[in-house]
Amino acid sequence: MTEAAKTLLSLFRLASANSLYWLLALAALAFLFTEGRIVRRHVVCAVLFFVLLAFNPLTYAVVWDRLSYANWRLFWMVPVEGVICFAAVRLLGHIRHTAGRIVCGMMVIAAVILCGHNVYTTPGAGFGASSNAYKLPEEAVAAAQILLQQDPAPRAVVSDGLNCYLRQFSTDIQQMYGRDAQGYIHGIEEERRRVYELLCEERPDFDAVRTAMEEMAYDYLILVNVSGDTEERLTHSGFQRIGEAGYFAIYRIVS
Amino acid sequence: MIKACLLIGLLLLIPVILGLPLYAHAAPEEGTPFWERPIWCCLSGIMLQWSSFQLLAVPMILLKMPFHVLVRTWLVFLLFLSAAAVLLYRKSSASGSRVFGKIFSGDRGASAGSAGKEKQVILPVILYAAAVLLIGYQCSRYAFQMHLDLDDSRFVVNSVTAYEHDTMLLENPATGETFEKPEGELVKDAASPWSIYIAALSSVTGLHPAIMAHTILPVWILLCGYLVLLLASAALFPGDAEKRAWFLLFAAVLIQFYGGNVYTKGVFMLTRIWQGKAVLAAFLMPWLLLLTWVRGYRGAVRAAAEPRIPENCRTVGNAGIPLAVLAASVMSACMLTGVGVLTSAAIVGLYGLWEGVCGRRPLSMLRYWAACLPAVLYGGIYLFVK
Repeated sequence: MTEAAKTLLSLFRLASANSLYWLLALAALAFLFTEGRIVRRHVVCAVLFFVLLAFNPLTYAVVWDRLSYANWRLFWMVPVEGVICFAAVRLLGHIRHTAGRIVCGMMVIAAVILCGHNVYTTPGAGFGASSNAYKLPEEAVAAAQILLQQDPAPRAVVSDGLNCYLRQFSTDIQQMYGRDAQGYIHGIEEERRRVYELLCEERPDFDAVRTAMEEMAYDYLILVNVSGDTEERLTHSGFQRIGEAGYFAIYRIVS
Repeated sequence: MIKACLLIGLLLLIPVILGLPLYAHAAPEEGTPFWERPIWCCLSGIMLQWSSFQLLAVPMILLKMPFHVLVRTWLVFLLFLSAAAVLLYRKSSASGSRVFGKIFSGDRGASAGSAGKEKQVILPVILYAAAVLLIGYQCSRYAFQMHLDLDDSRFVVNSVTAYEHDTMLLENPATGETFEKPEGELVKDAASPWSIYIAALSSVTGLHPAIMAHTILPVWILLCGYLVLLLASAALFPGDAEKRAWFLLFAAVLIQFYGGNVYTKGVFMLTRIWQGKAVLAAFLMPWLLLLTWVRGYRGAVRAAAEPRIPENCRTVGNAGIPLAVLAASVMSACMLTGVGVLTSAAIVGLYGLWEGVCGRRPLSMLRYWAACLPAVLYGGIYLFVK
């Protein structure tokens, strides 16, 4: 039970991002408690009823932990925004003059901005300029088009940085490992993992990579930031450069 | 042009048609704004549309049927449901024009007259305009900019696979390797085929699934999320346009600043809303909370003001929501993501418990728990496939 409580707390920290909104929500509930019997019963007590039943360590240990994953998402059920907004509007309702309500409303907005973090400047949550209709990296679209020009069903070994995007453009392209190499989606066989690890080395053994590719019938290789020495070693190992997509270079095995 | 018409038909027209008969017979409450009923129709219709897809998709995925069979069957089913909805709508009213008036009836806000009344109109309009500007800004980010997310290597690729190869969840999205049955993380998607729904929309409209997921759906679903908040404001502050406008504005600002890390609801809602779990956070969870706890509060306020509340047939408890809508909403949550199975059952089931224990309405509790049956069903299917 103690472990469940600790896990719940850590999940709460993730879902709340340590923002002050949950404190604001508590303050809002405290205010709403004074807003009459119906609000007290059907908002404050109802929210507390829901939160206590859904988020106690026993419920977590018996239900959530056994049936769910990524359990920080469960905290999205709690209507933090709704409670804060409802309380703020009820507060404004006590101010008779329109000018007073406007000033108070602006202060609420200022408090919300100061207590939170802008989503668009949150690390990992940013937006960038879109260069194509698919909203995919331009290099991914270009690389996919080059491969599909070569072959209607190309089989490629694709480095990190591109292997999550190629197949969003076309699933006619097959990859040796994609995101499986990071442990997502599906398990990965030992020989595929070996190729991934070879390519992650500072000076990959391209002869071994080529041998593995030929055994598994993969014809194309996409690498990032290929320098002069690497280019020579690739050529020596039997790879021919057939195109570029941004800072990615595309190679084909030649016999 | 044709693609745009098909898109509007699927995303807007059909849901409105499906939702029309659900509320046509119910008299509008006092203080109901004129826009409230059409929005209820539209959002309820979306739930019926999504649940109809879920009903067909899960067995067809498990039976490994071709994707095009699912799309065609679903379209025929939708047309049938739409025709039935139109017939029910006509039947539930004496004449089409009178009921049409009923749907859009309600409080149209303060009429022009004294200076005081005019001020009541001006401030809400300004507040709504500010909220619309902020929401428009958030939509424009989705429409014109790009957010890259690695989870799309599964979600969007599943859609593209169905769209290009006519198979459903039988290919590893990372590699393209084919499976005999859904494996790995695709097991979750077999009971929650949101990505296949995106592929179905793409198949009908001819738009690539990446375009549908990254541009079209985000704007639409974000707007639906805010429409839910608009309905919540109408339920919480009936007859007061200014308070409703303040509520929407506060909510838009709060959501924009609910960031800090990549796990918050705000980040999911404003940066990756095309993913099933984000649709759950942005649209379905608030919608379920609206159908249950918010409408329950509204019912309590009405009951205190009017001891004799007119009965709506086939409604659930004090909330005045048809049971079909609630059950369809739970089913729609199941379609989005595996977590939707649990959270929909939690929100609706706990409200049922609240009705039964604190409200002393055991029949109402049973009705709410009955609405959770789809969650039990799809949870069972997920465990079976796993």
